[in-house]
Amino acid sequence: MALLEVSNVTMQFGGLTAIDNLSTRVEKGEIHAVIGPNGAGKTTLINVLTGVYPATSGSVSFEGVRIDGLRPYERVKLGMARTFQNLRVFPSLSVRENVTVSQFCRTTSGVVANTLRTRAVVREEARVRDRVDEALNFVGLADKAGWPSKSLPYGQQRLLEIARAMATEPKLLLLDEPGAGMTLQETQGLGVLIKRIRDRGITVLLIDHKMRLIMTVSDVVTVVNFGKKIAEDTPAAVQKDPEVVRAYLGARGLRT
Amino acid sequence: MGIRSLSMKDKTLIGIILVLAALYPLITNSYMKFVLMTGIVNALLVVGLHFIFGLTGQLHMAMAAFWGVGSYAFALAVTRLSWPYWLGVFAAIVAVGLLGLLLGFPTLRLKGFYLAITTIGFGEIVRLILLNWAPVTGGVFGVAGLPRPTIGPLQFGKNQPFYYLLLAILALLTLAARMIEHSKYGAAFRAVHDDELAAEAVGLDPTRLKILAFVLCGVYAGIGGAMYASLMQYISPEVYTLERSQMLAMMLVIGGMGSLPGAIMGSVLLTFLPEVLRFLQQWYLAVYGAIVIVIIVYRPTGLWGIWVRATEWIATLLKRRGDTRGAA
Ligand SMILES: Nc1ncnc2c1ncn2[C@@H]1O[C@H](COP(=O)(O)OP(=O)(O)O)[C@@H](O)[C@H]1O
Ligand SMILES: [Mg+2]
Repeated sequence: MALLEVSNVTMQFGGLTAIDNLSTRVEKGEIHAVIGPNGAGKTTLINVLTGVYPATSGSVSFEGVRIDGLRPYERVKLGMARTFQNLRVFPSLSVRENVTVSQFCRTTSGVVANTLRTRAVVREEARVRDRVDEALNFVGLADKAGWPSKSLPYGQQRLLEIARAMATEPKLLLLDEPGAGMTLQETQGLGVLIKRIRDRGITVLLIDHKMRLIMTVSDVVTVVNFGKKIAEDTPAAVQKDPEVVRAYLGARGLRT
Repeated sequence: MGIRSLSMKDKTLIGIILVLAALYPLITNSYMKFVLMTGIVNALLVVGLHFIFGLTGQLHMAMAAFWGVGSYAFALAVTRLSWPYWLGVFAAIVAVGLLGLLLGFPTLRLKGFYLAITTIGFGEIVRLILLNWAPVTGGVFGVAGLPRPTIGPLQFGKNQPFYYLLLAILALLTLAARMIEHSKYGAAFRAVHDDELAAEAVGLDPTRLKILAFVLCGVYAGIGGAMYASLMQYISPEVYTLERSQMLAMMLVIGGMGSLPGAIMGSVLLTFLPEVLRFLQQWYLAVYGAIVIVIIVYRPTGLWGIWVRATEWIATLLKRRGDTRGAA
């Protein structure tokens, strides 16, 4: 059984078909990349998978269970987490608080217990603090925990979004162009980070434009164009696929 | 834990409560003493509003309805039903808490101005019910003969003891609000305020959190409504207007959005401002409006922001004096 099974998903906005009858399977433990030119429907795919938009038709299963009707926060609880292509850190929260709110869905204490700050709440907070420290350490932001999140440089805000997603304790992490706006050096670090995420047993669905990143880290690549899947194979095979070269990479050929 | 380890906000909160405690005997005019008491009741309401408007960022413009239902639930329970005083207060809390749920469920998928307009409509409906459902609410005549409380042998019938009881309730409810604000709920409310889509993407249920904030607001408004009724000992529908809802929201904004000390400062000072400006007669509203606009435009962080700046300024001044003395 695949971790995530996408079956004949179509997503229309008015007359525009952003995703066109797309099917794919994301296997447990792999880094599965989705590439395609701007406007191909990659972000829309993440939005459909995470429940931001209800698909016009088709179905999505996670761990063998249909999740089509679920709200985004319900999918997070099942183990799906995401980052945003256009950064969406919580601006009025500190770096630490940004990651702390991700643990909310993994805790149970109620509002009365929190008002009284019972011993159970103190214990829960200690556990949350450990998880948050761990997530911040993991992306290398531990020393900036107290910063206002908006004062982080761009590339580090992307890392913060990854830490925030990791702190929800996901089984599947969907990254929407995590390398956008990063320096070359930061991008190399990102590749290592994504592999470390996979090595922790978290499956990764990676969307990116940066060929080098995709080609070096991913196990499987799905190529989309105009919302349609046009190829799906190992990075090496996809690079040679004539239709991919024609449709997506154009006459310039493949830059790595 | 010593006082030095407390945050600036916590120290200010303690300071405000102490100043309010000292203020009452210092005010000689008995009318002004009464204004101060209404200021404390307003602070109870505004601290409640802080949950939904300040932290969660929802434009709740039916605060007067919450407050009015609290007043009437208390008043009717202790007069018509002859319930004991504190059971009447409890009835007010439950009634407004439920009202928070009732308003929350259908409306909280609405955002921004849509929510504001819906809550305005809701407030008007409640006001009209209080006014026109005369067999129950007494209509325009309101409800008279409302008691002041007793706790065991302690009597709070006179204004001075009742003032200190109100202040103790405010201190307790502010402490509770501060605990919630610092808990996971506070951060979750602010995350919803910042970005609902991102909040859902990290597993928060914005609708549930907003309803929770509404219910918390309702609990505070229930207590505030009951205390107002007990303070005045008489209630009638004409005070629970949209204008009052706006005034309460204004107190929070002027105090400094999202800060508890600001909420209390804003409540007390804006309760006094009309009294202080009364000598201006017909010019009063213009000057009042001007002061409010100046604060909003030039100090968007409100009185709390001004206070933070002032203390920083005093701290550097003291430090500089200390340094020169050291050099001499
Ligand atoms: N909410 C929306 N409403 C209308 N059209 C949208 C919406 N979101 C995306 N689209 C359209 O869907 C297409 C795919 O967009 P997107 O998924 O963002 O592409 P990509 O992420 O691959 O660059 C684009 O033509 C875009 O304009
Ligand atoms: Mg995109």
